[in-house]
Amino acid sequence: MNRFTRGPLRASRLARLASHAAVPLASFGLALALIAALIALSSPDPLSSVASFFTRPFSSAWYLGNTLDMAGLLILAGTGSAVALRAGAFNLGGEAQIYAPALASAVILAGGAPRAAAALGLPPIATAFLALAAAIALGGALGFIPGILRARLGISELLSSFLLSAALIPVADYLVSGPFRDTAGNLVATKPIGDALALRSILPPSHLNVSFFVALAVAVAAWFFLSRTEPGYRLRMTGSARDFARFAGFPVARAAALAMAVSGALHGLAGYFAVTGTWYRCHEGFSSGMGWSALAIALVARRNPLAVIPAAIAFSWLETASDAATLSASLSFDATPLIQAIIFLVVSARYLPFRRKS
Amino acid sequence: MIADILAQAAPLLFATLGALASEYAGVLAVFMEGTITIAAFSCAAIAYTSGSAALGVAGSALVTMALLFAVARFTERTRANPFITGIAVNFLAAGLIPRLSTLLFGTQGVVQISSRVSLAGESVRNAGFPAALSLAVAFALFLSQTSQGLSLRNAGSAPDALAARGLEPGRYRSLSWVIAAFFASLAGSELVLGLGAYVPAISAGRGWTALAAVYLGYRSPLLCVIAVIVFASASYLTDILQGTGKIPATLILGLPYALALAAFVIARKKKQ
Repeated sequence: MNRFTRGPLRASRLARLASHAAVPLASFGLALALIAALIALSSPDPLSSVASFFTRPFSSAWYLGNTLDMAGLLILAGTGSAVALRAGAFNLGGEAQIYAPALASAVILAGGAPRAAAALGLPPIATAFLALAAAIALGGALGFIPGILRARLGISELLSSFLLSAALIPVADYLVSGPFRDTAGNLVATKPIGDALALRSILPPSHLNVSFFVALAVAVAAWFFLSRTEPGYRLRMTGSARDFARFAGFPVARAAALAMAVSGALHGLAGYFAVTGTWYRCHEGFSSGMGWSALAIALVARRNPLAVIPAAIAFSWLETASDAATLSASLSFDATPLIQAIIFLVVSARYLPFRRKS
Repeated sequence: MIADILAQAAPLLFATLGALASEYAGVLAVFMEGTITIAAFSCAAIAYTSGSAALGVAGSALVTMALLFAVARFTERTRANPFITGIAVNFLAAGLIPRLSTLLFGTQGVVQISSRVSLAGESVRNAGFPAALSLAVAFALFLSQTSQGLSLRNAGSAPDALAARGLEPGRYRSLSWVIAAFFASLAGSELVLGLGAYVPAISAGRGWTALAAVYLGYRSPLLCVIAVIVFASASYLTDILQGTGKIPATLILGLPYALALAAFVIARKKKQ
């Protein structure tokens, strides 16, 4: 099949690559310009604020490491979004698919499980695996439910995944602020997980840890699966040529449901790593837009898991930059929703003609 | 009790009529939640600065319709995915309003307008439902009795039929966004003037409940009125439950979404 999809000439492939990169670059550029303008307009010292906007992410191991750490989490969730998009499904439930598994792993890792494991003579890693499995299963289930609702009842997964997530986030907030709250601290958060179960930083004092490399491996594996294997080809066909896939006897509805489950599981994995490697506990409002960022990244990357990697790093840089700049100008303003809005607008422009043709 | 339920129903009915308009044109109104918030904020800002509630309502309608017209044209021109541009509207609301609120009022929190605007509170809450109901009847007549209404209904389900009659389906899709924006602005204004204040997250899931009400009302304006009253009664009940302190307030925040999801599943099951 690749013989037909690949361009015959190297030059034309390069041209195609350039045209593919144009829209993502334009959307990032636009987001960058708008955020910088907003910061300059609202800062008492516009020049230094804008300067720190561009330089701060590279100014220290703390900023650089944390930018990459956040990028790793976004690569995992973004790969999840891309897999669902490839199968023609929009996963808008990323927020709860990160939050709920994060809460589950934080509760398992900080609760009685490590003590129970020690009593049974099991190593701490057994608890880590339990939490990991729980996070993946929970995320997968939250993705699978909208997927199966579409396959069985024809309910748009776009709507049901969003509604399921929006209904569950307050439940998670309630659990974090009530039953599972760590009463010892002032944070509205669960108890911290033990040092033995936390992922060690490879660039102190930042939180950068092994999860970044796991994320890279997952993105590459997803790319390989989608573009170089037979089941991956079928999955893509269910997304891009539904009637053809149905005619060829592929289980179209089931494939999309499965892709939604995988998407949820990858969000769950991001939630697990966010707890074990970044925050060491689960706080109220844990996902804080990560699920939406992941979707924006997958769209910028044109549903290609390999392209998710640079897109996530750029997105994370943009976030760190605007956080640092607003912090230095002591502005309280969250630029993330604006970045997301611009990316959704600009990216969609190119996105649909490309879908309609197929 | 009935007055309370109808007061709850008014903004939701406005929102539902808006979602219905865009549903006919084949666009799922995922932008409703953010649009109501933008409408509510512009109503509060304009009413506060001018001291006139009427100017607030009119200004909010203008701002909201202009914004969604721009997004609709963008969506049509670039053949963008209306789901994604619709969601972008929600993010625009989430990103811009706290910023504008800080610039205009020096706070990201509650903006009281009742001290500057005389027409607010009880009377607006009571007038809301009759107004929404008469608009629902008018909208139903427009859809069933006028050729413009027929074209709007066909823009989503049979765009080729429109094109065959020499009409541009894209035009009617854009029109549906603008009608949706108009109704969203009424929902937002009703919320702000009824409360006498703008509060963050003022829409509280109504934009999404409206989508569910459209399905539960089988896409008919008058059946939607019944669906809206059912939802309003449910939220009235939960308000009472919340008052007893037996259900944590945070859990209630998720209820509109859970209800909407249940409505979709039920509406679909019946169809099968």
